This record gives sequence, C-alpha cells and structure tokens, in this order.
Amino acid sequence: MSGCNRFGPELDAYLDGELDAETREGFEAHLPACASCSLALEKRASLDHAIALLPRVEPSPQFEARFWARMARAEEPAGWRARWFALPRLGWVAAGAALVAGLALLLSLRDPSLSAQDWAIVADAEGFELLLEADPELLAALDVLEAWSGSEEI
Amino acid sequence: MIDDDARLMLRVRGGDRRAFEALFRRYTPPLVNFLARMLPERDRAEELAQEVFLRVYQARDRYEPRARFSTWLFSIASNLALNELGRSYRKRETPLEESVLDRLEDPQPGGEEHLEAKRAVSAVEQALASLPDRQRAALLLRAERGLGYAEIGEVLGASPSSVKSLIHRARENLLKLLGEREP
Repeated sequence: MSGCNRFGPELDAYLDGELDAETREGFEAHLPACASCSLALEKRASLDHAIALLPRVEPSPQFEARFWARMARAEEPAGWRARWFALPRLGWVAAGAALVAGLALLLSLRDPSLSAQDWAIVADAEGFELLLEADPELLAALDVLEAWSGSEEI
Repeated sequence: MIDDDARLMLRVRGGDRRAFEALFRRYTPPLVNFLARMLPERDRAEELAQEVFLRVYQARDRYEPRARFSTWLFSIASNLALNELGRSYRKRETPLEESVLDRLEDPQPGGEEHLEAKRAVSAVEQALASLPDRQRAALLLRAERGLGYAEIGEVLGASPSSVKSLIHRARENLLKLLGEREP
C-alpha cells in the first residue's frame, strides 16, 4: 500500500475477522479518516467476492467410477494379507498344527517304514541319480573311478 | 467436540464402508475444485483427489479425531499439490489486462455484459493461477472454504501469523495482476 503504511497485513486480517479486539478497535477508529485504507479494504472485499463468484470446477462424470476401480486395485493385495494376518491367535495355532499334520501324512504315505533320516538319504540318492543321468561325462568319470578303486582292492 | 465428518471417519475406522462412501461423496466436489485451482492440469487434479481419498482410507486404522476431518483432508490435498507443483510446473508471471473486478458484477446471460463477465472470470482464474503456490493455497482455503487462519496454518503447516502474511501478499499480488492500483 502506497498511501498508508499504518496497517498492512492487519487490513486483511480485519477483513477476515482475525484481528484481536484491541487492534480491531484501533483500525476501526483509523478507517473513517483514511481514504487509502478504506479503498484498500473495499478492493480486497471485491476480490474475495470475485473469487467466490468463480464457477466451481466439477469432477468429471468418470471420476467416481475411476476412484472405486482404483480402490479395488489398491485393496486386492492388502485385503489378502489383511485376512491372513487378521487370523486370531487360536487360528495361527490351528494353521500350524494342520501344516505339521499334513507333512507327517505325506511322509507316511510315501513309505511308512522309512524314518525322516531315511527319507533324507533316499532324496539324496534320487537327486544323485538324476544328476548322473543329466551329465554323461560325470557318469563316465565315475565308471573310471569305480574301475580304479576295484583294482586297488586287488 | 467431534464434528459429523469425524464421527463418520470413526465409523470408517470401525470398518463401515458406507461411512467412507458418504465422506467421499461429500468432499469430492470441494476437493476436486481446490486441486483444479491449485494445479494447471485438470486430469492431474482429479488423480490427486483420488489419491487423497485413497490415503484417507488407507490411514483409517490410525485415524484420531484431533482436528476437523476437513482440515486433515485438505492437509493431505495441499501437501500432494505443493509437492507436485514443486516438482514439475512453472508458473505464469505475465501481468493481466486492465482492471477486471468491476466487470464481474451482475452478469446478464446472453448480452455483452455476460461476455465481459466471462472474460473477467477467466482473468481472475488466470491471476489466481499465477500466484505463488502457498499464497494461492492460503487464499483459496480462506476465500472458497472459509477457513480461519489457525486452520489454514494446520493445513499448510504454518503459524497463523505466517498465514496472515501469505494472505496479505496473495491479495496484493492478485490486485496487481488484475490491474488494480493500490491506493
């Protein structure tokens, strides 16, 4: 404001009803005698009125549908995890027990006579045979080694 | 004292999806309008408005009614908009044509005055868009949402005295841009 420097931001605060009682009374006493502040106040009020008259920017017709689609996408993984972790403590215990029982059943179905240690050996042996089938060079090397170890025995 | 929106949000926290839908419908128009005035691209404004609601929903379990719901909502919106503006956009600095405020009064549909008023509306919109981002946000929250300085401060993370200064500078800049001479 070039005409009067007594009130600067207070002028806006007055317009917005944000001045404390003492400052407001001082400003109101000053206003009738100051054409500059009166005009500044008037222009600011017109400005606010102009902003209030601006047409509102409405959401597009697809806004709502797009949002709910986005919500559904955002909820998908969270929903699955939330349901899983929201299991009550008893549910966790039951889930654990079911898992152990399932594993035990699987082992007993394969060969009831084998212990867990036996199964480890069988798995190792199966794995080794598969490895030999897949690698003929290794198989040939093993034959040589077998022949050599036999001759040593003699 | 908990307002009606906060009560709805507490129901959302308790798993009530319909309460969230009510808040969504209530706040979609003002939120889209605010973000469209803050950002130069309408589509982006709508995307951010959706992001605001998404964040509200995702934060429902942690919601505590410490402030008005709308203050919280517009805080999220302002942060997103100001971050976005800080990243990617340049502002127009061009001063506008001669005084336009008088031409906004009482437009008559169809006539020359109506045309004048439309031009004036466009000039005010353009001038608003040219303001520094925080000044624009503060003035919009004041003039369109009717928020007090303390509440605007909560939204923008500023003290009430900073808000007073922001609004003062916003109005001064707008008056200059609109060709109004300071007395």
